[in-house]
Amino acid sequence: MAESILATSSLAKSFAGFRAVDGVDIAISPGEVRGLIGPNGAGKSTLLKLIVGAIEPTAGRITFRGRDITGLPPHARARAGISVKFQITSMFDSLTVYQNLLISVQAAEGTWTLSRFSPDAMVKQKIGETLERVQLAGKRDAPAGWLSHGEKQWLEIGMALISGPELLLLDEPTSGMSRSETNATVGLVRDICSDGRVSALVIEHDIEFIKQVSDRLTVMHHGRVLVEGSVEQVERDETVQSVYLRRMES
Amino acid sequence: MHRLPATRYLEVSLVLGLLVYPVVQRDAFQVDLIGKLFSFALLGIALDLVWGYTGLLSLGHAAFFGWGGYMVGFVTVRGIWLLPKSIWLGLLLSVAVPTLAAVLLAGFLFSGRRAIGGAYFAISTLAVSYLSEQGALAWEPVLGGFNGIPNIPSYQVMLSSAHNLRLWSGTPFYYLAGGVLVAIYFLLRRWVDSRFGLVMRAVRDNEDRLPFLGYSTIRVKSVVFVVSAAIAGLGGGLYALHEGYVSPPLLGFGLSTQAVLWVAVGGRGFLLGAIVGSLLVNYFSSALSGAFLTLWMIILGGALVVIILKLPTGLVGAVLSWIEKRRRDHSFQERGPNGGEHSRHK
Repeated sequence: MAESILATSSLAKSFAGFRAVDGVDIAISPGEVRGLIGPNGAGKSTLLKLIVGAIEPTAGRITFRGRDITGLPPHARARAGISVKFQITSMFDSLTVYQNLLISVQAAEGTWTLSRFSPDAMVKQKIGETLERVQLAGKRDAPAGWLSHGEKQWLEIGMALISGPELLLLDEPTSGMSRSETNATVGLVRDICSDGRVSALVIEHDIEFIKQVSDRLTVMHHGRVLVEGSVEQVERDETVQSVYLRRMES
Repeated sequence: MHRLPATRYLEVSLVLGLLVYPVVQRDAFQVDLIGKLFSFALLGIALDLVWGYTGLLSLGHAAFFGWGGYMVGFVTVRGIWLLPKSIWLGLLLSVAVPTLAAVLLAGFLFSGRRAIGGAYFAISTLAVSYLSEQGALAWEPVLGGFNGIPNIPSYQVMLSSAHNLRLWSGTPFYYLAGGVLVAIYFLLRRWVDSRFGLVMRAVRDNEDRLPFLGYSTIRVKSVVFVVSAAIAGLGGGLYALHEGYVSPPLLGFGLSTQAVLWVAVGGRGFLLGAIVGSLLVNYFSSALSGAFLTLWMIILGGALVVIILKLPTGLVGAVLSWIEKRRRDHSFQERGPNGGEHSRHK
């Protein structure tokens, strides 16, 4: 197996005795799109929050590009190359779409540079490209708070994408989207990861979406990894069918 | 681009107005009073930088103002060790000491994974202000206790054998403090309009999101807090030189909360609002206390309550949106319904 970009070992998180994540080992290869599914309360979002550092684990380790990041604060993980779109869209509502993207791309610059200089041509070009990519070029100067729900999701993806991450974590990127918007999102995520330099971990309840977008699937249940494998393997798996898929499709 | 176009209009009128005021106003007392209020306006603008842009309400900003003032008093009256009892050294330390204090305080308040915010920040700063006042009251041998430090010298600058310039009062002080205020205003204006200013507003909007985009919000908040403390300290230093004495209330939460009021009345998050609020509220409290010896606080308090309730964006916010609206109506008439500018909402 190739060196994994992200690996967790025996990762666990308890909330007042409740084991939300209970010894998870997961390894994502470079360029891979990993789908993470499971019933409500399976611990998917908690796992994602552990990876970005929003919460601290009770046990276990997280390595990113071979480096232990378990003790790093969230901003250091972001600068190391981990980008995230949380389940609930969270942007800067009073700032414009352009400003939201600008904020997202310039974090590595120091206070002095940020105070002193306008964005350079490369930054502007990146923002222009990202606006095109997430189809928000026409809404460039609109306050982010005015966008429709689907547009907000896309802006979030753009914000996660623009810093050039190596790992993209997407928690329910298509919730509230129409079928055509969802299909466009499949294309976007596949496109982002097509050159093998960006990996993604995608949580989604929409099973059609997850099947189209993922290379491999991990199924979680009660805080543990139930099954991991290709989409076909997971679909054929009987345990998965009993706890999850059949219920989803019925 | 972040600036309402009307802001420029308003700031130019204000600067011109302040420039000609001493020429038009024949009453020297009034000019001297406004000069003093400029030092309060520095406290107001410092508070607005923290509260208006990063959303952190400091209820203890007078502590920095007072420490600045006490540094001037201490250096010029008591003297530090072998250092000269120089006004300029006092002014330098009136900036340096609050800056250093803010660095330490920021390290204490903002550090840790769960940085304190909101009400806890406000209460902590209030405590700092209260402790500073109590400390100045208690430490009588050094800070003079209740009486503070009187007799701060204000040297005269000799222009010729017949003419002396009394730099620390009257019209000279008016232009000195006014010049400092205007210079700091434009520097801050540039700063809040910069990309770093965008990050400040992002802290105000949605602080929790920023770390996951790669920002250390501790750093952003600390930088703003320290710059703000430095400006408040300079205001206190100038105040001390103008008044000739410093006393414990300058550090206390009474003045701290008044500063919050000035900013709220003038309009939070415009910088200009802090200046307008500081000048107007203080001017009217002085004028009203002269006219109505007992009733003035009730009249002023009532007026402030009405302003804050009726104008949530403050006086400056209200004037700016009035100008904007008038311009929109004009362009609407001239160019028809679809020709108007794309308006910005804050």
